[in-house]
This record gives sequence, C-alpha cells and structure tokens, in this order.
Amino acid sequence: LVTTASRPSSRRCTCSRPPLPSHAPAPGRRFLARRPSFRHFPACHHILSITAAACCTDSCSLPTLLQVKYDLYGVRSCVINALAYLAQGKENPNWNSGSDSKMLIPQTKNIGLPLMNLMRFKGLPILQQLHIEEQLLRTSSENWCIVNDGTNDPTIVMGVSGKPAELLEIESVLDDQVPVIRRFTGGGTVIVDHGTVFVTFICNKEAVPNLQPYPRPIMSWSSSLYSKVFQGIGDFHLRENDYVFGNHKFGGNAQSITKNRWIHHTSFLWDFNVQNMSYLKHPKRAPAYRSARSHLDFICRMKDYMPRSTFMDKTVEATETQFSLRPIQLEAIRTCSEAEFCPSSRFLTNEELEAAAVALQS
Amino acid sequence: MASSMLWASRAASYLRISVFHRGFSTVLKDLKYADSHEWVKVEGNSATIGITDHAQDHLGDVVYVELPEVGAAVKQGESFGAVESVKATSDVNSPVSGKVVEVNEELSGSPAKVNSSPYDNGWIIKVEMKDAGELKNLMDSEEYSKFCEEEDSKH
Repeated sequence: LVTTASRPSSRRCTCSRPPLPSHAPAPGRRFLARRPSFRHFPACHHILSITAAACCTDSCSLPTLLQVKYDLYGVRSCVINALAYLAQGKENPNWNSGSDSKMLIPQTKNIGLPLMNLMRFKGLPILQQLHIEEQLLRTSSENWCIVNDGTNDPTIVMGVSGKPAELLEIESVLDDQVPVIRRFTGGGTVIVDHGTVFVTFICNKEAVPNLQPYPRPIMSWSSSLYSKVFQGIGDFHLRENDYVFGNHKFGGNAQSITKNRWIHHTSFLWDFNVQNMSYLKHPKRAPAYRSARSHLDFICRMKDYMPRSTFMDKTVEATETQFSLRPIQLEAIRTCSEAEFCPSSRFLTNEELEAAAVALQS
Repeated sequence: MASSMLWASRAASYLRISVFHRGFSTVLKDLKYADSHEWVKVEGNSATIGITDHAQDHLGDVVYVELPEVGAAVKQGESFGAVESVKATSDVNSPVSGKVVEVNEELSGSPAKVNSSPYDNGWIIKVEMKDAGELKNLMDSEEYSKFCEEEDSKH
C-alpha cells in the first residue's frame, strides 16, 4: 500500500493543526461516490488517526463514530484497489471517472478473475477476422474475446479439411463469383454475411479452471456461457456441437487446439438470405438430429428470439462473470509481416474450384 | 460393443448429457511419452510417432490428419501436423527432434485408424532422430499412466 506521511486529522477541532482531505461522503449521501485511488489515499493515515485519537486525552481529537466508519470504508477501499492493481497490473481508473457508487461493485467482483482482452468489430471482413484470430492463437499469450457484428460480403467458409466438390454447388458458386475460404479451424461449412454475428474466445489452457483442453469440454464450457445469455429463451441448448433453439440450429462452432491454448469460435445466424443457402450441398457428415432435413428446415434465425444488440451485450456480460474484460483496439495488436506469423486461412482460387468440379464429374 | 457404445453416445447427445470417458487408457511399455500425449517408439536412430490412446479417446472420432512433408524438420515439443475431430483441429507435437523420413499415407483415406489402432496402424510419422539424448525429457509408461490419472482427476 502506498501511504503518505500522516498527520493526525482534526475533526471538529479548534486546535491549529490543518485538516487533511476527508474521505467523508458528500452531503446527503451515506457512502463515498468513488473509490479513491490507493496511490492518493493515505490508508495508514486513517488507521493511525483512529489509533492515535483513541489514545489522545484531548476531547477535540476523539473521532466521532461516523468518522471511524468512513475511515474503515476508506481502508477497505484502499485494500481492494491495491489487490485489483496487483491482479490486473493497472490502477482502478474510477477515482477520476466521476462515476457513481454503482461502479464500486463490478470492480470488486472482478478481483481474481483472469484478464481477457475484448475486441469488437462491425462488418470486419471474415478473412481478416480469421487472420487476426489465428495470429492471436499462435503468437499471443493472453486471453481474447472477439465480437464481429456482421461481415461485409457473402462468403462461404469451409473447415480445414473441407472438400469443395462434396460441400458446394461449385457451378453456382463460380457463376456468381461467391468467395470461398478454407479456415484454420475444424468443423463444417457456412455461408456468412451481414446477418451473421461472430463470437470468438481464445484462451490459455489454464484460463478456465478445471477445463481440459479437448473439444468436448471446451464445447460444454461455451454452451454453459451461452446458457446465461439465452436463459429462458427459446429452449436453447447445445445439440451435437451446434447451438439450437429446440431442434433448429442457429449457431455453428469450430475450434483449434494447440499445446497450451485453444480457440472456440461461433457463427450465429442472426439473419440469413434464403437464396445463399442454395450454394451449399447437404454435407456427408451431418449431425444425427438433422434427420436429413434441408437447410431451410434445419436452421432458424436468432432475430426471432432476441435483438441483435441485446445478444452481443449479454454475451459480454456473461463473459464478465468469468473474466475481467479489457477493451482493446485493433491498432494495439501487431500486424502480421512476412518475417513473423503467416496465417493459413485463405481464399480458394477459381482454378482450384474448377479443378474440384472437373474431378467430381470424372 | 461398438454399436452399443454408439447408441449410448447418441442417447447421451439426445438427452443432452456429456458422454463419460473410459476410466483407463491403454499405455504400452517400451514406448516413451510426451506430456502433450504423443508416443514415440525408438529403434536405433529411427523414431515412430503417434498420439496415445488417452489422446484419441478425448479427441473423439478423427476425420482428417494433416501430415507434414517428407524431409521436413521437426523439433521436440513443437507442432508438426494436426488431427481433426468433432469440430476441432488439434496440433500434434513431436516428442523428438529430427527429419521426417516417412508419413503414414493410409491416414489420408482412413483417418479413423488413429482411433482404432493408435499405437500400431495409426502411427503418424517416422523421424530420423537428431539427438537421442532428448529421450530423457520424455516419460516412460508408468510415469505417463500416472500423469494421465492426475490430469483426469483434476478435471
């Protein structure tokens, strides 16, 4: 704890000693509006003033009971701030924020939670999102949450082992020049656009207590987080690795697991264009609960259950129950250069798609 | 047995309960093991590498194996390829350093061999070792069994 040289405070005293800044609440309020910074708050001063005053025979130095209570609040605040500083490596900014007393509570709850950086985008191209994710997975040692509210152009995104001939109506894709990406994570094929909301978690393997870094435990953890988001809404649950309302899929998941870290990302169908689904074939590897239903009978729109901004806000809130979130701008992270990390997610070329179509016909 | 386990897995999925793992994993003597759940069989200067029964059980059905090129360099503890299972790609790390001299091409058409025969037909690469002294950094079968028990009991 940082303390300043302490001089006994004078409370309702007529002696010549000058009063020190009081951390008494504003008139008409019972508690401090803002938690004082521990660097500017002489905690020991208050401890000493209570002790010294107790020994003083001068009646003007005796603290009132109310002042003792405020001193104790001050000491408590100082200790909490110091712990938060040690846990997060930074000062609680609330001292200068002018915020009201409600800000005291969230900071108290975040103590001891692992730190997670939060990046929010709107309309970031999906390939750029995938590049950022792969770079953070492979080169960062911190935890990350990325929320991308829609992507720009309709794009098909296949998993790492996806075969275009099996998964896509290649002729239509080529005729309409729909971009096709092979991403670095596993899983199936999606077509994404401005109606898709993406949420990604990138974590060190120790970030979530008692979580084994394997596909099913990570999937189970993620579904428990989203259960908080969709509590009481639409019979939400995880069904064979998909997020569903009832038996209709609205969220697809994929993961990549390295030696010490993992990524779990989800594309949520807040809305979709019916016509776009015609570019995708019925996959060979489909979950049993799909029961051979067509795309349109199998999937549903999240917009029928929850407003878009509500979903993103509730997801951040649910994440805050397990992590201390720190907003980060894209410019703050290093950009990829040839000498550093090169991501593997990429567009498939027209030649590759044409070759796949020819191989299918032969 | 396989069909009843498949039925149990599907029933668990329908009832939305997590499928329990076997309480034990097969561990072979005479192999060495890395803490990232790969095994290595050393014969002279040659090392055969795969993932353990514990790993394949926790990963689930393997649907794709990403193999390195023959001639590629591998380093102890670093990724040389990946397996895809469920919705995840999982790195496979080399227990030894050296040069890849052979890859199991059969895994391209039959990736499930990693599940059905992790220590035999499911081998992934063969490596010409650079430094046999690195083997001391690996666990023997007893140490690895204990490591797996401790890991599973923590979660």
